[in-house]
Amino acid sequence: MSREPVFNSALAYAMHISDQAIIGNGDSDFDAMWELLRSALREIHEKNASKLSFEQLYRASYKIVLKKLGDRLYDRVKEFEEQWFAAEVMPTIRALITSNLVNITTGGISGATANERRTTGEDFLKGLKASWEDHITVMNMTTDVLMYMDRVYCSDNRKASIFTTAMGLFRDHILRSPLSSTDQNLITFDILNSVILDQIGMEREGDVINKHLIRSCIYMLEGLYETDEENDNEKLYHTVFEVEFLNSSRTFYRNECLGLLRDSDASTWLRQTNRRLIEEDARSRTTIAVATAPMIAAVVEQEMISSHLQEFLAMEGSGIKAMIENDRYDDLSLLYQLISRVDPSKEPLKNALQARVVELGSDINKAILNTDFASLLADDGEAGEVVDKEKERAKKPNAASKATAAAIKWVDEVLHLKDKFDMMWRKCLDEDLILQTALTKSFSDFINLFSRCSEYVSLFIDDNLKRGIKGKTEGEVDEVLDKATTLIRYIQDKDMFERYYKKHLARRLLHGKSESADVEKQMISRMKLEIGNAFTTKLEGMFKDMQTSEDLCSGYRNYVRNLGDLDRKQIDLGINVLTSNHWPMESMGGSKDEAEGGRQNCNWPPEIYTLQESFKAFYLKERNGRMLTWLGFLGNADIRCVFPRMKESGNLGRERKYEINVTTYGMVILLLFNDLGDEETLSFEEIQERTNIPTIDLSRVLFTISVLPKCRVLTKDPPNKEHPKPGDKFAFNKTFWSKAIKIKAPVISGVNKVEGEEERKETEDRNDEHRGNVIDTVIVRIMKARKEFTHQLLVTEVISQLTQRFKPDLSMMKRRIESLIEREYLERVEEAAIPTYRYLA
Amino acid sequence: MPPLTSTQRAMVNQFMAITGVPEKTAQKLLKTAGWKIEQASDSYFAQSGGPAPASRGDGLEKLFESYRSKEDEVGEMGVNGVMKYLQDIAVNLEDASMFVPLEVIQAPSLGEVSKEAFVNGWKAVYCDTIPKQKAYVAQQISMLSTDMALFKRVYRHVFVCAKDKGAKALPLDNAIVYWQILFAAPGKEWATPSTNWIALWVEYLTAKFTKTVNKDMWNQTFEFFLKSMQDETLSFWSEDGAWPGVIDEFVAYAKEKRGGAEPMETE
Repeated sequence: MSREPVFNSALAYAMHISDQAIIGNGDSDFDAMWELLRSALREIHEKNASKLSFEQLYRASYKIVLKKLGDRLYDRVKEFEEQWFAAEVMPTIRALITSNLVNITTGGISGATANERRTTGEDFLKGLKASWEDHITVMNMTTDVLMYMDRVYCSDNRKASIFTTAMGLFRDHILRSPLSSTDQNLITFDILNSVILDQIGMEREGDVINKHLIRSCIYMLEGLYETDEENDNEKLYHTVFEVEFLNSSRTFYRNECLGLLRDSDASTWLRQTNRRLIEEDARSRTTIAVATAPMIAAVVEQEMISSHLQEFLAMEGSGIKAMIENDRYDDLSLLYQLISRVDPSKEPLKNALQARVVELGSDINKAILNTDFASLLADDGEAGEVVDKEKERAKKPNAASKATAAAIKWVDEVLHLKDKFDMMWRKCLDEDLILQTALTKSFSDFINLFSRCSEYVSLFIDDNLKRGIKGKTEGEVDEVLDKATTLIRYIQDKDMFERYYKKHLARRLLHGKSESADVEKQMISRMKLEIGNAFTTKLEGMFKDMQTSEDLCSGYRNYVRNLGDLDRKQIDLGINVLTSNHWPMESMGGSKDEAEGGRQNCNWPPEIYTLQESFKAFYLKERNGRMLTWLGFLGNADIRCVFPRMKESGNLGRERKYEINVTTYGMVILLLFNDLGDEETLSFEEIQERTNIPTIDLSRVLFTISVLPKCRVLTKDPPNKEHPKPGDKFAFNKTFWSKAIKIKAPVISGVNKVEGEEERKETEDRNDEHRGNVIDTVIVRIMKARKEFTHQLLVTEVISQLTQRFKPDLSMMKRRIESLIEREYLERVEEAAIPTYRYLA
Repeated sequence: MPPLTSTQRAMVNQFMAITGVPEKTAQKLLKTAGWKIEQASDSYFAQSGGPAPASRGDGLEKLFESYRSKEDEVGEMGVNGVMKYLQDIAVNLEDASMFVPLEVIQAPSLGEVSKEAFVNGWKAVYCDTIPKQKAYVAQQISMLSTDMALFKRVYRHVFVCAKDKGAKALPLDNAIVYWQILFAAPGKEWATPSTNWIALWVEYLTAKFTKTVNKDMWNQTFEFFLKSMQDETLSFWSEDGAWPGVIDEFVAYAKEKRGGAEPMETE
C-alpha cells in the first residue's frame, strides 16, 4: 500500500528549519503543542487539512520530541485514534451491519433475496473500505506531521512507527470490535469474511459482483498483520480470511462434486471441473490474492477430481469407456489434463486405458477365432475327403483365402485400434510418454495372447507386398511399412515371426509375386533396425540368392551361345540357386517325405538331364565343391503341346497348339506321354516308378492336369473328380480344347495362406525343436563360461539372453537341461545346498 | 562304557572277526574311529603291521578263482559263480540284500564280477574270507534302512549293474522292479503316514510315463525319496526348482490324487 506524502514540498522546506527556533520549556508547552496538534489531527480526520500549516505542526511535534516528551505525544495520538474510531467510525460501520448480514455470518437463515444480500453486503464493504481508505489517508498525513517523532522517538525507543501502531488500532478497534455488547464473539471481521465469501458464493452461482470492491477489502487485509511486528506470514489475509475461504470452498466443491455425481454425466463433470479451475484462477487474480491460486486449485483438484475420479471414469455411457468408444477427444483431453493435475503418474487414466486396449484387443482376437472356426467348419462340412478340399479351393478360391482374408482383417483391426489410440494419444494425451509406454505394453499383451499373431502379421505384410502397395505413392507405402514395423515390435515370439516371414518371402520371390524389390528391401532394413542383424541375415541371403541367380542365368545363356552348337531345340533355362540354409526348405511346398528323407531326387527326362548337366558344368566351373540339388516341386516349365485334329468340324476340327505352363514335375510327367502309342495308358504306379516323384506331389500335380478342367491335358480312369491315387490310369487327352493359347495349369501350393491346424502344429513343432536347439546352445555357452551355476541363475540368464527372440518356456528349459545332463554336457553338483549344475568339458 | 546299540554290537563282532582282537580292544578302537569300521581297521592294521595287504590279496584272489568256472574269461566271474558266491555269503536273492555285496565288489552287471574289483573291494574292508564277508554283509544289511549314505551308495550302484552293458538308461519295467525291491525291507520303505509313495510312484509311472529311466532320473528319484520322507506335504517342491520334469509331473499327480480327498491309507 502506498503512503504518499501529502506535504511533499512543505516537507522539503521543513528540513531546513533551524533547531534554535523552537526551544521551549515545561508541560504547559506540551499541552499547548498537543492542543495544536490535536485540533490539527481532528481537522485532518475531518478532511479539512488544506487549511493547516505543515510547518507549524511539524515544529510542534518536533519541540515535543526534543523535550523528551515523545512518549506522551505517542500515547496521546493513539488515544486520539481510539476515540476517533469509537466515536466516528464504528457507529457508521455498525449502521451498515444489518440483521441480514449477521444472519449470514452466524449461519442463520436469511430471509433476504440474493439481490438484497448483495446490496447490503456491498454497502457494508463499501463502508468498511471507505473507512479504511480514510484511515490510510489520515494516517499518512499524521505520519508526515509527526515525522520527527517517528524518526527520533520511535527509533530510539524501538517503538513501532505511529503509522504501524495506527494500523494495529484499526485492526483492534474496527475489525476486532465486538458488534454488540451482548455477543462478544461476533466481531466486524466475521461479518467481513462472511460477506466476501457470500459474494464469492453468488459469483459462483453466476451472479455478477463488484470484484473491485472485494479486491479493495482484500488489500486491506493484506495490509494488516496479526501483531505490530508485521511479520510477512502473519498478514490477516493469510491467517484469517484465506483459511476460511479455503474451508468454505472445500465444502462448496465437495457438494458440487457429489451433485454432479448424482445428477450428471462424466462429460459435464469434466467441463464443470475445468470451468471451476479456470474461474478460481481468475478469481485469485482479480478478486482475491494471487498467492491463493495454487491453494484453491489444490482444493478444487482434491474435491472435484481426486475424490470421485473412479466413479466418474466408470460412468456408463459417458465414462472412459464411452469416451474411447466414441472418440470424444475433448472429453479425453480434459480428462488427461485434470488427471495430470492430481497424479503425475496418471495411474487411474493409465489403468483405464490399458484395460480398454486389452478389452478391445481381446474382442478382435475373439472375433477372428470365431471366423476361423466357421470357415474350418465349412471346409470340413463339404469335404469328406481331402479330395474335395482341393476341389473346393480350386473352384472358389474364397474357401482358402477366406481364412487369409480373416487374418488380414485381424491385422487391419489391430492396426485400426492402434491408429485410434495413437490419434487419441496425439490429440488428447499430450503425447505423454508414460501413457505411451503403457499403451504399447497393452497392445503387446493382447497381440501375444493371440497365438497366431506372428503368422498373421507376416501374412499381412505378404499381402501388402504382393498387391496392397500397387499404385500407392511412396508416402503411402511408407505408412504401410511403418504399421508393419510397429506390429513386429509388439510380437514376442520373434523366431516364430521369422519362420513365417521366410516362408512367405520364399513364395513371393520364387513365384515372382513380389510387387517391388525396392519395398521388400525397405521392409528388411526396417526389421534390421527393429530386431537386429541376426534376424535379417537369412532374409538378406535370400535376396542375394535371387540376385546371383539372375546373373547366373544370363551368364549361362552367354556361355551356351559361346559354345557354338546352337541348337534350335535348346531349352531356355531360368534357374534360381538357393543357399540351403537361407531358405525354409521344409515349408516351401515339398512334401513331407522330402523334408525327412533327404531330398529324394526325381528321375529327370533325358532332355532335362542334359540341360542340368550342362548348367552344372557351367556352375561348378567357378565354384568347385558345391552341391546342386534340383527341386522339382518349386519350378515350372512352359511346354508346347500339339493336339491332333479329331473331327471334321467344330472346335476339334483342326490341329490345336497350346503353350502350357506347368510345374516342373508336371513337365516331367507330361514328357512321359510323348513316347506313348495312341491308345496306351500309364498307371499311377508306372508314372511314379518312372519319375520317382513322391506320392503326395504326384497326386497333386496329376490332379491339376487330369482333373481340373482348365488344363485337362490328360484323362484319368476312373474319370471322377477325386484326387489321383495308386491304381488310376492316365492317357493323353486328345480331345483337349481351350479358348486361350497360353494356359497356366493351376498351382496348388503357390499362394500364401493361413495354415491349417495340422500345418500349424507342424510349424509349431519345428519352431519348438529349433527353440530347443537354441536353448541348448545358450545353456552350454553360459555353463562353459560359468563352470558351476545354480539352477535359478541359469534359468534367469537363459531367459534374459533369449528375450529378444522369444520367451522361453520354463518346462522346455528344464527338459533341455535334463537332456544335456543325459548327454553329459552337464551334471548336477552333489550335495549342493541349492540345486547347481556343473559344466563337463 | 555306555551300553552298545545293536549296530555297534554288530560292528564290534565284525571288527573282532576281521582283526582277531579281544572285544574290549575292538570297542575301544571303534569308538576312537567314531564307529566307522573301515577307519578303525585301517588304523589297527597300520599300527600293528598285521597281515600284509599282499597276503590278504592272495587269499582273495584264490577265493575269487574258486568261484570262477572254466567258461568264464580270465579275471572275470560269470553268472553261475556269482550266484553261488552270493548264496555262500548268505544273502537273500529276493530282496535288496544282494545289492550290498554287489556294491562292495562293484559288479558291473548282475551276473558279472571282475577279479580286480572283487579283491580291491574286500581288501578295503579287510574281509578276506567267506565268514568275514558274510558277517560284514549281514551287518551292512542291518544298517541299510537307517544309514542313508550306505543306502544311497547301494541304490546308485543298482542302476549301474541293472542296465544293459553300454546302455545309458534302464527300461521302465525293470526300473520299477528295482525300485520296488529297494524301497522295501531290508531297504528303506518309501512310505509316510499319509502316503505309500512307492505304490504311488509306480502307479504314476505305469499310467503316464513312457520313456526309459536315465541315470539322472534314477538318482533324482532317490533325492526326491529322501525329501519326501522328511516332508510328506512336499512343501520343499517348487515349480522353479531343478527337479526333472518327471518329478514335477509326479508331484502334480500326487497332489491331485491327494487333493481334497482324505490322506491315502498306508498299507
